[in-house]
Amino acid sequence: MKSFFNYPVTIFYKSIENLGRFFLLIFLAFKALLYWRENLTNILNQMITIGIKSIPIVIFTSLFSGMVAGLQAAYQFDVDTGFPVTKEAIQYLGSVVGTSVVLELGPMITALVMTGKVGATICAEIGTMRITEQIDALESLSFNPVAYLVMPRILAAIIMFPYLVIISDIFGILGGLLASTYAYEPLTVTMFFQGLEIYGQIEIDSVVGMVKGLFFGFSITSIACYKGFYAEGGASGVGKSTTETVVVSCVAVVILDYVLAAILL
Amino acid sequence: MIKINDLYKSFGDKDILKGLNLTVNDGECVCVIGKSGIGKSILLKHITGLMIPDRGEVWLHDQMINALSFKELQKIRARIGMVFQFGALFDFMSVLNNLALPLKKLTNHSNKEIIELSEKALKEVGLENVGNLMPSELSGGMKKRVSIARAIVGDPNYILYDEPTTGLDPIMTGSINKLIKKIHIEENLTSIIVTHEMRTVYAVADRVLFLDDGLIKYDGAPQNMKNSDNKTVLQFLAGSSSLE
Repeated sequence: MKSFFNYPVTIFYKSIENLGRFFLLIFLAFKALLYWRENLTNILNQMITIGIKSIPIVIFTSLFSGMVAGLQAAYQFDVDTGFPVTKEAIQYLGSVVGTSVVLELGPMITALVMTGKVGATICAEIGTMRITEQIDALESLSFNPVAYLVMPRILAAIIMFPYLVIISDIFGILGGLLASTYAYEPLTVTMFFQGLEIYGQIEIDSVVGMVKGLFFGFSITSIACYKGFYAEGGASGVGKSTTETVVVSCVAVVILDYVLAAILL
Repeated sequence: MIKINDLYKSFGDKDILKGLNLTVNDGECVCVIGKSGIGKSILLKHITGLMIPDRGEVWLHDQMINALSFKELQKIRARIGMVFQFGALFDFMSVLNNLALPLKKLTNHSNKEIIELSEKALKEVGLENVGNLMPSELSGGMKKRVSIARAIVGDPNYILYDEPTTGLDPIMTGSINKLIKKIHIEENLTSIIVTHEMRTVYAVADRVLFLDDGLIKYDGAPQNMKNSDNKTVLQFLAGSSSLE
């Protein structure tokens, strides 16, 4: 009975402890930015792994999510509401698809895909290094493990995520264009782009999307690094940490998405 | 010289080290034995500064390890080579890069010199032509040898082994024991070996420490262990279980 009442208290203290450790690790990672020159090769390697190697999957998922957005918008225009469908109204379809891709779908799809691809990989890599004493070995060889393992990954994600969002935007809009012009005959390619220009603020919105990408990149990699860095309990412990990374990152991305939208729009 | 004064360490409510005192003189080869989970590896991690004691002092080369800043600790760690239980080789880089990594960090050698020194260290542990292999391509014994090579490549004064023969067959165990002895003599090192293997103790140690209940219960020559009046020491030597 006593342990039943103690459980929430223990969970509360553990959460506070974890939060403290997380912020300490992030503080040390930012402090380690002072040693970026020593870790330049590492940073570049991570930029390739996190950024360049993720381009194909980002293109693929963005293209299809853009197509879904295009199809759904076209479907709504295709419904006979009794109102006359003017040329301006049809153009508006381009704006609807473009804005939803650039503001929401691009950054969000990129973040969720990267949570699975990059977040899980980082956590498993660092977690395995922890349980096989490779992090202790690094430290015993006079390396700062935060500067060597954590900082390059977080920095690479902060740099590369906004570019991935831009790529996602381009292919998302392309997918939307293909699907909406195919599904809704009155819409032409020219009208789609006119809609984008007339009704949307595509340049400003894409900057907002890039800012979101930057924050998503930071949150995904910092959660993954933290979960990996403090992994324990052998192979199953690493598995548990990796699962937690994906779940916590997804939740963090969704919350951040709302907060950033509320601030930036 | 390594000197430990009144070292305490606990995890949660479990006390592991309870006021341990120890002095290891330069050039000594000391084996630390004791039951599993008794704190032998924890003792090694305190010497390298990988763990911070709850109380007490760890002195190495006239510097108190647990009072050093990270930068000072980095400098003193260059004097220590550590061989981890399962090798702890970096699995994302080749064997040669595993050895080159500390040299790149701690020395001003050119790339050519670093490769030469790494290959020399590999030769010393009896491994040649494995530099381009990845750690996953090595056998258990080879991993241990590479790990020893990585520990000595930076020319340290101290070398710490955490169960260097665990998981190896008797022939490979004998060969690693010979290697430990050879490196200890040729490199003029101070060695501390944590082990369960009495074969290793008899083959390499000048002195043996028996750790039990957070304290050193035997400190002396390996040959005299059987004359100890401590029941746990005798039980450990006989390999008998208290459950019998």
